Amino acid sequence: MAMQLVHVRRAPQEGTTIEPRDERHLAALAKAGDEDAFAELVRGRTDSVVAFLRRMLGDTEDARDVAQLTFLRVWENLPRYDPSYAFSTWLFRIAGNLAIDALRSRGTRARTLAESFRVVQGGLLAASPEAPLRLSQEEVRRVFEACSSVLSEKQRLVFVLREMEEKESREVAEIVGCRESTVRNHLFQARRLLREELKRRFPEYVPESHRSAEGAGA
Amino acid sequence: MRELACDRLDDLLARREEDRLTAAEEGFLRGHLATCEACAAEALRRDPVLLFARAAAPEPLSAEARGRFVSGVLAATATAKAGRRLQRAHARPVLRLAASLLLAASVAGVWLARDGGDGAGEVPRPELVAAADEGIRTPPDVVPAVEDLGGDTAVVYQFPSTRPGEPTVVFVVDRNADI
Repeated sequence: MAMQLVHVRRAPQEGTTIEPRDERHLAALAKAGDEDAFAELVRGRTDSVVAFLRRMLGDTEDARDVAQLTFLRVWENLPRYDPSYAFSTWLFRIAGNLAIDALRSRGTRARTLAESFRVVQGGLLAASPEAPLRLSQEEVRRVFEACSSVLSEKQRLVFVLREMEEKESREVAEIVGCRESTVRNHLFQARRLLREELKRRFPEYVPESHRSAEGAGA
Repeated sequence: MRELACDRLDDLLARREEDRLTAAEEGFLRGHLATCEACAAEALRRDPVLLFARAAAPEPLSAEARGRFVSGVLAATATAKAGRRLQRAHARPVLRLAASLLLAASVAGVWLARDGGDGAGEVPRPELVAAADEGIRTPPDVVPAVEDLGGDTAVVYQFPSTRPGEPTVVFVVDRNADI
């Protein structure tokens, strides 16, 4: 019997229901000076951009600030928008670049916060095979915030886009502005670094078999 | 009961590690891991980083917050647009040319009016008073102190007072202003 593959995607968040084709049309109108079209683009993409930046920056206020800057840049650069690209790809490219700038400018502060989280959380959960599954989604997010400080800005961008935003490697390559092979390379490196960091700082969330297997291999 | 999907876990995880899953397979794997606890545990055992796929999507903005956000963006673009218009007016060569022509025409008009005949169009001239004749002493430090406020945007000229109690005069001059 052949297996049927069903593509399960996350339900679209409120405010993100504009189809890509419509977005291109709206972008074309906005490019011609239609302010209503631009406002509709902003309304339709606010949630997804803020959510992406929240994952990139780990802070809601920073995410909103950078999101505003993103839309301002979009508006400024609309004359240069190439409609052969999906509007969302172009939008995330601008947002990603601004997020990288923001991460670079605050580097040390983020690391300090991440370290303090380890102190608070450490020892609360005893090591158990089910420990990772018992974590709430919010706790998982915080563990990611703590561990991802070891990633370079680009590794973090690729990891967030690929693993959390669930974008395909081809689209990630377009957003980041590199080849798919480079995206894969960043992704492998990011996974490896996160695995090591998770094992080092949150061993309670790493299954024992995995810890011993990695330890034997090292 | 073990589902058919569980049997494909090994294959899907191996190809995921190499980033070789199709979009459909990837969606299928995510959907399955979200519903099958045994496979989720097995997947985490093999790759603990899969944990992060379970990270919560940040809360979407409330309708009010989104409204504020969109208004903020539109206000920022409106401000930027106004600034750009102003800049364009400064930089537009047609306007500069028109201003030059207008100035030239005014000068020519004055010149023609003066030489128009019979001295009728003669322009009254202001009386010139020499400072030395009037006994006004000009201190040596009357040369304007100049302070540049960054780049070519503005310059401050400060004329110090010549007598005690007299106010200091300060001019702020925009170099970009069309005259």
